[in-house]
Amino acid sequence: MHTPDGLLDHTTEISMGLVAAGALTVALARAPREFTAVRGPAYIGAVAAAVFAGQMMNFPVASGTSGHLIGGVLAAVLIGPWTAMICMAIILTVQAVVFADGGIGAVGVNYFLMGIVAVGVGWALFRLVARALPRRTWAAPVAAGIGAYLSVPAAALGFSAIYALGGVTDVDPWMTTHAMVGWHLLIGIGEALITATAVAALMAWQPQLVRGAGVVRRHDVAVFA
Amino acid sequence: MNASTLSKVGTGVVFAAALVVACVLSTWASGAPDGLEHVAETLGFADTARPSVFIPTPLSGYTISAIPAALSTAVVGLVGCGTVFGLGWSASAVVKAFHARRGLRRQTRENTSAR
Repeated sequence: MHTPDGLLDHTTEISMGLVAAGALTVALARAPREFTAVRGPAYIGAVAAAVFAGQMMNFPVASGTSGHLIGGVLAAVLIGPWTAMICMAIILTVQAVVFADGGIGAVGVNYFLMGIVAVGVGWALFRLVARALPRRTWAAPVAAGIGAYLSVPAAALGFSAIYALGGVTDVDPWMTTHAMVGWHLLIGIGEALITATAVAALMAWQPQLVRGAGVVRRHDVAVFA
Repeated sequence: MNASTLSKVGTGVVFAAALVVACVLSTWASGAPDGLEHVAETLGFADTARPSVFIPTPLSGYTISAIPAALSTAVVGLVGCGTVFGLGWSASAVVKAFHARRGLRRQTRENTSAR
């Protein structure tokens, strides 16, 4: 889901750039609260690298189409949503500048889709589901998988909305929305499986490496105190 | 395992996993268009896309054309993961130091010891 340059007009690209810059400023101010002695700068860098790697790994979906991890929810559940937003900014910028994956002008658009919408929607859903589930180790991966699954069509919906506002062609917005959300409901299955597997593995090994474990735990205190 | 050791081991394990995916597994990554590219082609708005880099980067499209494909993937994965790891680490270290200097040192310390 890396928007290249040329699909959207300059006004839209610049506006999304400003939105991205604003969101990143808030994230930079809030992220340090998510840092711990275990989940410090080195671990954050490693999670960012893992998300970058996941985005390289395109899996086949159906009839000549592929999908790849966005990783926004994976990063948010491992290191916290604000820190995840910093990581997504780094990943998307490196992809655009070093690998020509996604336009440099469209980096704000891609950040909006994968750094704001995917992380925001996915993390909100993760918290909602994690608090509703019983206090078991499996609650974190299940909630992460559900958040990850829906974060993908949410980002696709975001793209459709932006294209309807600032796309350079006059495609019927409903057709874009239908096609984008439809395909990404399929691609989201891969996102959910990868996210849930990674979170489950880390939870089973060392829950302290999973920020989202705290959401499940804090909920326990609230319910059982 | 104390927090400092766990942090180092966790970093090592997660970064190693990243390298395995980026350098080895992604050799088998699907080259088919992704969801957005497919939709853009089907609905006919893919043609307006244009490259945004004026000087083409040698790593464009995650391949180095001069060397064999499998080796190229490994090199690209290593460079990409290394760059993102380094930038992620240093950016959050700077953010952490900046936060501490702005008089929030106590709050950070409480966070680090509490979790």
